[in-house]
Amino acid sequence: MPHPDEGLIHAWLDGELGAAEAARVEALVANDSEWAAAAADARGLAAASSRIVRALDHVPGDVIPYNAGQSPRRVPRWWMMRAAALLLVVAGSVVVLRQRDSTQVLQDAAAPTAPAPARGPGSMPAKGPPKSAVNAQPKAPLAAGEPAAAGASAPASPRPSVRDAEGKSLDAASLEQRRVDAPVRAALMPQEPAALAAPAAPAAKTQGIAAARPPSPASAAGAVAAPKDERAARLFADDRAEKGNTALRTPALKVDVTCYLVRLPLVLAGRTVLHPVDSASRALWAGAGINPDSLVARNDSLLSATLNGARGSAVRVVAVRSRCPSR
Amino acid sequence: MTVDAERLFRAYHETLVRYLTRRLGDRDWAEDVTQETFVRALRQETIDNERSWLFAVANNLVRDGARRAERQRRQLQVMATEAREQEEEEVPALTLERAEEARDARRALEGLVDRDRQALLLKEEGLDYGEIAAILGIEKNSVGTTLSRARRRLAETYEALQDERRRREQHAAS
Repeated sequence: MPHPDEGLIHAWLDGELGAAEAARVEALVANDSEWAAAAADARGLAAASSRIVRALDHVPGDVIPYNAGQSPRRVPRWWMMRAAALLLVVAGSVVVLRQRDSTQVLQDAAAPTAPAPARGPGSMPAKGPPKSAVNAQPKAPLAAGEPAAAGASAPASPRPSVRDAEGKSLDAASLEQRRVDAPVRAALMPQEPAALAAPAAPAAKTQGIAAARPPSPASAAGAVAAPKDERAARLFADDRAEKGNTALRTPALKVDVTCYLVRLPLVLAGRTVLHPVDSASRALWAGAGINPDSLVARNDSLLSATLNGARGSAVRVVAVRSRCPSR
Repeated sequence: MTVDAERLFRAYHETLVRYLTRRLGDRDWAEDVTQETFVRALRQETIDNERSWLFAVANNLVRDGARRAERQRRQLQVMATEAREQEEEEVPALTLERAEEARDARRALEGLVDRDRQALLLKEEGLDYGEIAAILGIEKNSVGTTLSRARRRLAETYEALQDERRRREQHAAS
């Protein structure tokens, strides 16, 4: 018996042998354990190779894996997860205490005539700052000896405004303290002049600091998500839209450019060939003198535009919705 | 036979892009090479074996690498942009797992000698031994040996990389 020939076995498995040669190999595999083992090994290798090669196609964005050559992303360790959970609990506690504290201070300020509750040793005296001060200066959690329901002794509603309470009910020491603190608060919160000038609506007071505070431009949710939306809007907004108005006209047009396969018509020998271009590669477009900003969203699955090419010729661009490569 | 652009494109564009993307690891680069391949095909009066001809020309274009530096520069720009965007997004576990598999597959494939790698990828695209031999300029009888060597090395290297990754993950978890 000849020694198993791996190349011959692979050729046999690939159906590349002639009839006579294939029959010879088949007989060897059937009658010889070494050949049988080699054939089984070759089958496994061929299947594994195909699977490995297909794994190359599982690449987000259809490009080289973004962490190629680097160590893989590690699984979060248990202590990191515990630390994150602890941080979450602490942050949540702080928020709750601040809300509770602010509500209590507002209630204190709103009920100036209520008798001051007896305080335990070591507790801090209530300053009774106005609404603006509540916004500006986070207070420490209530002391252990402080009554938990100080607000219970104050009328729940209707509450006078902070400005009313400021003029009528706060004692001289509190007013003096607030006057001293005012510049500091103003410096700390320059983005909230309205909060310093006028109190928030009464309904907002009971919802704590977060609710009473007007949303600042920098922290508004819309601003956080703005970059991507603006980019999409720039890409797909109607070019007849006003300059600077990047809002999408309808929610149906809110599309993600990375979900589209843009095809630039390429005229070859008198025939039009659609050449796919990765829509993320805007640098390529710029190099070709094409401005993708003038793309117009016709509907959720088709974009189209007629653009001016680098040589001044009109180029019709069509983009068809595809999978989102980076999702 | 006369070159029919549309038929040629429909028949071979997808497989050529896939082959080149697997080989190069860069979809855009693969698209460029494919486009250039079709441009050259359309300049031909006749092509006897279209599939062999297209893959051979594509291989030659890759080997020439005339546009490689430019492509790499553009690729770096795109990758930098994508990296910034990806840092802002949560990576689903499935995507991450697949990306790691793809990375291991890429590393295993790059561990092969060029001829073995090309033979393997061409075979995966359905080319027969005669076509592979013609494209690579080797004897048809040696394609089986080339493929058996390529498959074994690819599988062994990939398995070793997977084992190494599992060990790292276990070590990190412990």
